[in-house]
Amino acid sequence: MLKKLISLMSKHPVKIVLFTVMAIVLLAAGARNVQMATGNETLVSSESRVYIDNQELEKEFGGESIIIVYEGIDDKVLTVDRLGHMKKLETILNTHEEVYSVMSPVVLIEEMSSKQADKYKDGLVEVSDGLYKMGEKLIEIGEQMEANASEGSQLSSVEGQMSELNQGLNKMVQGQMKLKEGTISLVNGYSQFGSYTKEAGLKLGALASKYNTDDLQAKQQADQINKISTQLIQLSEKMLQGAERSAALPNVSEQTIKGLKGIESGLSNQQRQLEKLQAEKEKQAKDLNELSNGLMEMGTKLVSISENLTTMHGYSDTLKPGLPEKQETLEHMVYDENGKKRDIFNEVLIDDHTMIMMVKFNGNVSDGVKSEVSQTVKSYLNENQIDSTEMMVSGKPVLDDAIRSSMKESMQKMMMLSILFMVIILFFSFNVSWRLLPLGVILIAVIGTVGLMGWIQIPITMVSMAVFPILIGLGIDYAIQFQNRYSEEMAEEEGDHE
Amino acid sequence: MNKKPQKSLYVTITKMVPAVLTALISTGLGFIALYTSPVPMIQDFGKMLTLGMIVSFIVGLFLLIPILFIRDHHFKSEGNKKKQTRLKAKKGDGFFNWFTKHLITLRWLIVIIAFLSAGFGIWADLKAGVETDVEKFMPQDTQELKDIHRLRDILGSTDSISVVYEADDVSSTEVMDWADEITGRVDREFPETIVESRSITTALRQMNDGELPEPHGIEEKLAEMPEEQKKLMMNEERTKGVITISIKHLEAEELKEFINDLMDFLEAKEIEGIETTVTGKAVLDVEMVTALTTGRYKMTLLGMGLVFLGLLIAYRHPVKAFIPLLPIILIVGWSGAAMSLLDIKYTPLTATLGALIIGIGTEFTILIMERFYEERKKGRNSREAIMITNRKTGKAILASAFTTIGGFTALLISDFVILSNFGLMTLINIFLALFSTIVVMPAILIILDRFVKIRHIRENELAVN
Repeated sequence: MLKKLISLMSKHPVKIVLFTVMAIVLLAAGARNVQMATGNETLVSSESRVYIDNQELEKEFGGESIIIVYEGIDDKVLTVDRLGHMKKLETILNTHEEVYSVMSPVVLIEEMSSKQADKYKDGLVEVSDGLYKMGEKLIEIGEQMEANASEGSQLSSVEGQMSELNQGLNKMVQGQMKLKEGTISLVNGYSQFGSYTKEAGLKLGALASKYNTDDLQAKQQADQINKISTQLIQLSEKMLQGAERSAALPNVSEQTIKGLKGIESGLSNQQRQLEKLQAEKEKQAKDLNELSNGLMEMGTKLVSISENLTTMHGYSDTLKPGLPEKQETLEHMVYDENGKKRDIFNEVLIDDHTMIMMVKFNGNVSDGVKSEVSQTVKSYLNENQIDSTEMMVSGKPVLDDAIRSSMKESMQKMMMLSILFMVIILFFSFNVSWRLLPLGVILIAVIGTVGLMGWIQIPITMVSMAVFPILIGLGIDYAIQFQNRYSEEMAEEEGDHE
Repeated sequence: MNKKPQKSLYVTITKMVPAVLTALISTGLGFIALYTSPVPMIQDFGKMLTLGMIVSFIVGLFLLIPILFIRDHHFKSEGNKKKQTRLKAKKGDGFFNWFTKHLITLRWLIVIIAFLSAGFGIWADLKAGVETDVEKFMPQDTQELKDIHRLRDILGSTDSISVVYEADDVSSTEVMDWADEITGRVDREFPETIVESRSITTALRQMNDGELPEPHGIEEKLAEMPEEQKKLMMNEERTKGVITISIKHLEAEELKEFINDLMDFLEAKEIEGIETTVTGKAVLDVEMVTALTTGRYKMTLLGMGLVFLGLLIAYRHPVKAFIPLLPIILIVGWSGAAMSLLDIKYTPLTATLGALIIGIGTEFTILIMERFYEERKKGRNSREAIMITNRKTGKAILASAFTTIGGFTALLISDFVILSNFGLMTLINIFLALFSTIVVMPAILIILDRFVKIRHIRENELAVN
């Protein structure tokens, strides 16, 4: 084996060098595929229970979160401007497929306003229904009123009875007159008159009961009529009593006539009032008519309003929920009547000066995507600064991203330093010609190794970035040992041994 | 054309290739121990190192040697450089001779002190702490790190544990009541650790003036909840829900204890039809810590075992296969002592030190041992053989140790705390390896020579005669 190698190497050294260089170039091409990994799969075996559980969790409920903090430096953080700023960022983030969910005051407020819009829409339907019903009712009432007004029957019948009554009374007075003139059949005449009077009183009482007691005026009239009726009945009783006591009392007729005249004048007074009332009623009826017309018109209008509302509801996308434009509205949404923050905002509105936005990734998203999204957020925040607001983006993915980028930086720095130190050390401690050759060789080996890692998909982790200095340090040993022995043999020209 | 390059090539390949190959194999075997670590990034580290060493060997063999040969064979005649080299080398030879002589006389003392101190180191190492807080690994003045600390101040917590519960219908009254009770109770159960616990019931309570809605009202409230919020707590099929427990930033050990307590608590509260799983990033971290602390010794021991087996196959001699392990045991012990003296905690990186020590240490010891037996085979007695070995190979080892140190020094300057600590430890380990190779190894070789020499010497003496 070794013999073959030696003969091959002494015969075709140039070919071997070229072949090796070619192989390294091929390997190095794999460097494009090298990945930097900081994820869970670098910490725990992907077959372990713990890892699988975590993957399940991320699958169902999303993975890591980026958190964006807004801090109002000298005022309350919750302003319409800042919400608008958040909303824009949210729109950008939602275009990323790998973003699982975004939680922020914006989301909650939008949800609230969309709920309110729904309620508003529901309310609209109710209002339109209600208006429709009311309109119809009004029309109905109007019609009824109109009908009632044109009738006015009750009053006219009362009037008729009144004049009957008057005639009755006139008859009574005339009777009384007759009574005065005739004295012979006093007793008979008196008792006859008495019974007439009683009849009239009872009639009046009946009339009074016909009055609508709801109407104040009518009630008053009814009362008066009742009074008169009672008086008449009392009078009739007295007359009957007088008739019994015969003609012993000559002035009775006079008194009776007087009394009757009083009643008569009372009645005609009553009739005048009734006439007045009638006029008023007529005016009322006119008013009622007008009112009923008005009501009917209003009813028709309400029905048409209700129809319009129904149409409006049909095109309800004109009532798009959105962010409030007024600070007042916004605060009204977030704080209740007592100025206390609504519980639902607890998670995103930390205190008056601090609010956050949580951007959760899908489960098991690659590091590249996380970096991309956190860069997007960072550059958005940089480009869209708001006055007196401090904004910061943080969270595990952002930290990991920072670790990855400083890993790259650190690796470059370490490589350079390692090479520099080795040049110095080789120069002083390795006393052979071409003493820097091992370093060159080992660098080629490192390049080859990186390429090979890309080909066979071994990622660079926080641990393995230490590989390069170690590799340079350990790998160079082989080259040094080879070159040392070779140089030793070359130097032994005097041949003290062998 | 002179024939010297040809001869040098011959000697280099016949003598050095087997020695370096043996060193490579034993280093590789040491690194294989890294694959047994349950922590994937350590496995990757092992793979990468092994690959890197193999590539380095191949490139050294097929690039460096042919280049040297081409230089001397085709282009170069003898220069004065080599004479200078020899002159310088002679100065160094004097020192090595003096040094080795003293070493041989003090061999027992050296060996005893070495093993006692290593024993102390291993004892100290058993008590070493483990650092797994990723935030303590990275550059400490990074803006992002400051940001996350501020975020922690604002929110009270950025770490969380998730309790996933599974049931046929997690929105059923029973499961809701259960989740509600757990969510509320867990805070009171672990008030020192838990900052806040949240589940779908917390959100329902928030929507309902602090009360859990009546069973018939739950559906309605669920429908009212923003989709973006709901899907963080309950899946669409309603077979799984999650209770998110925000906790303080804890050290791995405390975290481990807390998770165990939490699991016990949940088990006690478990009702039929509900299955719970405690998971989340924090649980993964704990798993890693456990893997690091328990896997470390196994890894080192396995590495040593593998190296021993490898050497046994190569040498077919138990003592010869055992000798390279002795300095490794010493370095492991001393390295543990150094870590506890410097108060460096174990990290995923420093946990690999054992394997690295095996890698670096065996290389040196095998080179020394090979040269020693090479000289012994030539018929020299053990003293002479040691003198020559230390003089010739010692120089090369010094050179390569220094270059290795040069390479590793770069780690010290890294912004990553994890790397600079690791760099410091590897530097210390190389010094220790160098020390044990040049100081302790000759003593061991002489002491153990009686177990090895017999056969070889006879063979060689016969050959000489």
